[in-house]
Amino acid sequence: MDPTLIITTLVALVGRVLPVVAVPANATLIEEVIQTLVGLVPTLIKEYQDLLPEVQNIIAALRGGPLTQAQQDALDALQAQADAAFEAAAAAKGIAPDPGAAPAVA
Amino acid sequence: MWHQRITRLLAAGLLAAGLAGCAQLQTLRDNIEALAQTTGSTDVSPKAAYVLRNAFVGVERTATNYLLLPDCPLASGSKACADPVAVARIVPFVRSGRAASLALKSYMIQHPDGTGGGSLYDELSKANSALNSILREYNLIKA
Repeated sequence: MDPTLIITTLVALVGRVLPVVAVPANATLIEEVIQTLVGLVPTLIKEYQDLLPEVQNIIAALRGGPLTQAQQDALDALQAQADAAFEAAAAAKGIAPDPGAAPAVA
Repeated sequence: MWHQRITRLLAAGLLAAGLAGCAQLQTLRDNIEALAQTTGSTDVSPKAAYVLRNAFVGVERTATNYLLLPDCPLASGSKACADPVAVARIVPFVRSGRAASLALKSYMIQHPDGTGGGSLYDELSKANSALNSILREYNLIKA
């Protein structure tokens, strides 16, 4: 299948799904997910390698059956990595550590 | 040109994720529908929580890359710099979002069906939306 067709088909499918969601609150929920995904797409230009794991996780979750423990563990590892990188960057800017962060385990 | 690059990269990502056939697209559609059909606004499906937590990590990475830029204004002619005002706005939202994500994770472990987890989901959603808005404002996300 042509890659462009995959994209346009996916967008079309999402567009078809949104109107059939019965409960407005749930429509907001799914739209939030989709909008976040769409918002991330341009960033992939500069940060393709960085963001690919999250995008792959989301797509895999949307495609697949029930979430597995391996998927949850992988997300936990990604978040821990991202949290540490953010706090290191914040410290380099002279920003005080997160007062709400759990103390490091020795 | 810009759109072509996005299309190529997104296509590569989707292909890497194995989204290359019509059967998979149908499954994707089915799962999006299932995700949307949560029981009510006070509840959250495990997949919705998982997807939003993943999205937050992606936004946090983008925010990190912004913080890694040199401070504005730059003495050199480089265009990329981090506005201290933006940094001051970003940090609290990343930290509140992180706390919300971890709280949502803990809640979903205790309540695998997500009953009553809607408020935690909303909290993470708000931090996510606020960060997206700030990053768009500073042209890091052009959506």
